[in-house]
Amino acid sequence: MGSFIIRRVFYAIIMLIVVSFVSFIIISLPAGDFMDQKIAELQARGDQSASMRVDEYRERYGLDKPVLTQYWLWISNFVQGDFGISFEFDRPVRELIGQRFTLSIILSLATLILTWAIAIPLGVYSAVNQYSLGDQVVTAIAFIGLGVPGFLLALVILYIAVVVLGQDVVGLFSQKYLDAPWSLARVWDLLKHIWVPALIGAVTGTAGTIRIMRGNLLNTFGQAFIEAARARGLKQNSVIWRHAVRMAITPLIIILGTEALPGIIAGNLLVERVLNLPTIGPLYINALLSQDMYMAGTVLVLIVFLLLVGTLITDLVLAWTDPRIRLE
Amino acid sequence: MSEAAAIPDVVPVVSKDKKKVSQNYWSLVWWKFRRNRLAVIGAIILLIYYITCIFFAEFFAPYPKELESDYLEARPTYFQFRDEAGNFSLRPFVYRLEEKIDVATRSRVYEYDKTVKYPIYFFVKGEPYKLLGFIPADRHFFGTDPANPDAKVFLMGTDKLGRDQFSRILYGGRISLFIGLFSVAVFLFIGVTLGAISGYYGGATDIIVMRITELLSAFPQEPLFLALGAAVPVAWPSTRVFFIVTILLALVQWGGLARQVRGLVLSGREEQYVLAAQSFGASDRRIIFNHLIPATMSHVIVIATLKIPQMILLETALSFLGLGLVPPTVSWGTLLQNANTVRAISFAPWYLFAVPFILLSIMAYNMLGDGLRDAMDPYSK
Repeated sequence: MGSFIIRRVFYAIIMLIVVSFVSFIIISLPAGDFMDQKIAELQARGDQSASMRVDEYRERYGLDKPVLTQYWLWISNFVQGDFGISFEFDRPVRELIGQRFTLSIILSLATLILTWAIAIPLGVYSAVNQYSLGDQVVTAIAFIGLGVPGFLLALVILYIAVVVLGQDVVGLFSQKYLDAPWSLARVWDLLKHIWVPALIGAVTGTAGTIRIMRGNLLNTFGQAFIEAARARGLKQNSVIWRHAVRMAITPLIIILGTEALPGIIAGNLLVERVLNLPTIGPLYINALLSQDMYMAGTVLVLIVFLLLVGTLITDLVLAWTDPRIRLE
Repeated sequence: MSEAAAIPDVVPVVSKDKKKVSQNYWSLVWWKFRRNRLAVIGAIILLIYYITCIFFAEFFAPYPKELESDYLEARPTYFQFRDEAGNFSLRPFVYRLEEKIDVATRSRVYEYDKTVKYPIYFFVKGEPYKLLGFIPADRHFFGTDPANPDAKVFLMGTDKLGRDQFSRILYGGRISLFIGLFSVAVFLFIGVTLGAISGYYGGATDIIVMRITELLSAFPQEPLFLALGAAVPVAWPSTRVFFIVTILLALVQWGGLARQVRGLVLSGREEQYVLAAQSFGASDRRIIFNHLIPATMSHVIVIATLKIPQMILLETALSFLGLGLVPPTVSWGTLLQNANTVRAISFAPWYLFAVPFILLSIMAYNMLGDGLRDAMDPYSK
């Protein structure tokens, strides 16, 4: 068991190093750098002295050095916890991401809870009443949900909320609570706003989860131990929930492990952008658009890091329950 | 069920001299596919899309995609069949748009002037164009009276420069649907070839290819694709951007396909007929391309059909953010950029008309792909 863990951790570390290198190269690919874009911006505003100050900036941030040197500078600070400076905001990347991390987690938790709360009962119902009208309806809904992309849905819901309902659904807080300290009222305000993005995120997730749940459950129903349980006179509900669902839910937990963790950041990039939420997603997109290298690179590495951690945890749980995997 | 009675399960193919001939796999697939109503509907919808957007967009669109008019961000003029007085006319007509200043918002709005009606004619003469790129023509599917320069029909409104959104959606569909097809073609080429070679030869090649796919799969697809899309120089001409976006789309996704094909080839190469071909002296290349890869085709086709909508969505997302294809190139993503802000949606909600177009095409592809998968599965009823 120990050697299994060590092997996987070692592998994950190597993966991270390679990924960080590739990410940095990709982010540095666009011709020019952040400064060019900044100059253009400043000149558009009529600031003529921009080009002089820019050389000074360039040297300060090390943008005039070759890419490999830049990468080395970045990565050597990275492992010590200094993720670099965001050019756009002129603040440490670590601070910016840290601020938004809590909200990202809250949003992805809300989406996850919503997804599972809807999908599991529907999936179970669908499997238990296979081929009934209810099953057909649920399957149809799942089918549609799979096909509808998040950010299009976000646009439509935005329209409905703003024009038809007259509500303010942009962002996660109303004006009043934007920078206010945490209080019960603020939490309530958050809840009032969070249902929109959580719902949108849940749509796709629900569809997939329903189908998987239904398929797994149908497979489980065919197994002998279910028949044995029924023969012993257990109540139908007990058979379904305490025995069958328990078995069928394992693959879902695997998926949970590998998608939930990276989903915190990368879960719904475009939806977050459309709704302008104060989470990490829009931060990443802005960084890409303005070539804010350290910010974009850090977010990418963070997502991969979460993915690797999630996979590792899932594999550990699996290996702990199924000894065959440890021998791989 | 009367439907099942109308189309029999298996059609016996009878040869000319009335001796029964065995059923070919593909005709079985065709018959099973035909029985799946959803899949057939999906296929028909896609056919309509291909005809109106890809091939004959110039014919179906009343205006060229760059034609600006004086009606800036004007509301849509829908087809009407019954006028104010209650007269019904078989020929649809549209009302004239009148420019007014909204006192409250101090902005320009357009109201319907119900006293002036412009009838809609079909196969009407309009702006000249080249059908399919080389046949000169000037007839459009519908339009207003060409003799009246004030008569305009904007089925889905106009944008800030007065360009007809309906026409632009059709032209945008051409680019977006094309990208879906092209990128899947590249995706298939890379994925199938590398997967087959990796599976057949094993050894070092296999290890290298698998490590690369692992590295690729460590990245989350959307953020990686967005990062690559941001690397595309803004200054490039639109055709070059088109090609590079296509390649990037395929590049980000081929890993999954390669692994699947590798698995199929790994089991396929142990088959008897491969051994027979080898002992006949068939070259490796021949075995891979003439025997093993065709055996994977049923899986690969399904994967490809279901990939197309994902590619379309990714490209739409990219151009929506302002990366990759940018205005003046017209794609569904760049059209959606107009609907970016709350202000735009509340004052000019017709920008969102692109959304049902995209949704319908994606759903049609999904239905088609699901139907294909069920039809090709030899074990389904």
